[in-house]
Amino acid sequence: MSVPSTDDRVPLSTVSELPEADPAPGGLGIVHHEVDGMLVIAVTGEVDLETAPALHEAVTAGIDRTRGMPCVLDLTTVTFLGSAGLTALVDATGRAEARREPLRIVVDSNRPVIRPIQVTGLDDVLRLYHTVDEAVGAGRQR
Amino acid sequence: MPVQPRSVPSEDPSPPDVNRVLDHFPTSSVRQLVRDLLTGHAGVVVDDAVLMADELVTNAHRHGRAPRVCRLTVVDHGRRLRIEVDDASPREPRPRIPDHTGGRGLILVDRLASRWGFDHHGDHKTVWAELALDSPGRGGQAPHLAVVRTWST
Repeated sequence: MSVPSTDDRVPLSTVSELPEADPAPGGLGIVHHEVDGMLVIAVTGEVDLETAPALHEAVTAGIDRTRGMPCVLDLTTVTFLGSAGLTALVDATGRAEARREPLRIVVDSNRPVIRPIQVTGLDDVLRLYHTVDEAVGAGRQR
Repeated sequence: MPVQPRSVPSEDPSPPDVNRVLDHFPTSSVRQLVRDLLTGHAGVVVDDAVLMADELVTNAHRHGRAPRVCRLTVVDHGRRLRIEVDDASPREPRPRIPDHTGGRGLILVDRLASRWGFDHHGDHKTVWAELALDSPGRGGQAPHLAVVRTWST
């Protein structure tokens, strides 16, 4: 989906363009790429107490990098999301909102991700999208 | 091991299907043990079982003390999964109002389990939870989680 470009966005030239994350068993793969000029952080693997800090760090770094623009977090290939991961998403969302740079979280119909989000009522708190295209196409502002 | 009366009597004397000392055993491996144990099941019930086991084990790691032990038992003729996690700390699991620093682990357990609780023994406590394997969508809640009902965002 095409989105009009803006001139004030920060260049994303330092972002890696690896096509696939390949996490170790029980680990986390994090890949940054760009869709229509918007930073997309794609996460693969299991988000638990041990790996949630890596998710949090990647997202907060992404928010720092996308000054003035939304940041997209793609969780469609995450196979486990525990409470530590939920905390990371809530905290990162709060930081993003404080900077008026919404964190758009793509969950598809990925059950291991959407289940804990719904059970804890966070579907009312997090900005959830079905696809990366939908998240990117929602525009550059809130 | 000292034997003390349990505050909630154990209904099922079956030996556990899985019994693991958790210290030096990764939580990701516990999740895989749950998936392996529930091989005959599919869908949300397996996700819920994995989530519940992870939360109980994670709580033991974060708030409990070694030695930590996890037991997984399919009870009641295959109708329920019972997850038990022992640790040496007498400190009871305490729900709190969730915020950006956490507090959702026990909420997950409470909302997914058909019932859960904890027992004190002489030198350790056991936090346990049971999941109905044959009725997805059930949602029993423990009365001592009432404080969380006031949570609003």
